[in-house]
Amino acid sequence: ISHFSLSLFQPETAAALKRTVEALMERGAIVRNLENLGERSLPYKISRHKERHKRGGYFLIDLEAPPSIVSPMMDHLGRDIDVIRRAFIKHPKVAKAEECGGIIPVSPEEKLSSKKN
Amino acid sequence: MAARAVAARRPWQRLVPAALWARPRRLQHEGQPERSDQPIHMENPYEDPPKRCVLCGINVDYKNVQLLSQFVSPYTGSIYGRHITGLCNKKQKEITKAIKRAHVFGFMPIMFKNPQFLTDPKLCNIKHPE
Repeated sequence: ISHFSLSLFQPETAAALKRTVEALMERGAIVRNLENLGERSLPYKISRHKERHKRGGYFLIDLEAPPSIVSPMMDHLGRDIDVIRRAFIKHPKVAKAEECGGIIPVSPEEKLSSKKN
Repeated sequence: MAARAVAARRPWQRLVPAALWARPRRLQHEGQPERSDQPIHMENPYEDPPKRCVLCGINVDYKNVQLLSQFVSPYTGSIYGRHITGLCNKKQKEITKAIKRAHVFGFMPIMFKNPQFLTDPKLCNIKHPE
């Protein structure tokens, strides 16, 4: 099962990134790609580790790992002072966009018979 | 004489008794010639192609904050409903999930719309801004 990991880091933290990736590889994750989504001012002030942050660097780590890695990694990243926000997401399926066939009109009888919510 | 000769050559054109033409009601429609003048059933060739919503065929991503901000109110930051955005069920659900994800991950502001994207083209037909 492939996962994505997203973290918000405090600016100027090459060491923190290195730490994170090493920790991931230790638990047996295969890191495929590491993307830097840029450093920008956060959409809202985030308080983490007794500090109010206004700017952060966004990093996206493409990795393959068993799902058992998620909880310990979230713990580990939570204790890291340089990480403001952390998240693990499943890989989005790219095939969805090509199958859209447009809005199929629903006949009024179907609307009546189908239950809403 | 010629007429009688002609009649002899075409024996099937003899006077057919009327009884042969009168069929019982049950067999009335059987054995009809294949070429009837009933309409042929076919798909409507002039039918419009299915209506597509604005996002049909576009991949919705939580990182694409500009796209997501187009479906959010500039004053309150609340997500517009289906009757305002005009999206199909699938895409509306995808957009909602992506916006909520972007909120949590710190990509998109929650209480307002990112001022950078305020001048984007309007996709939603909202008449009375909140």
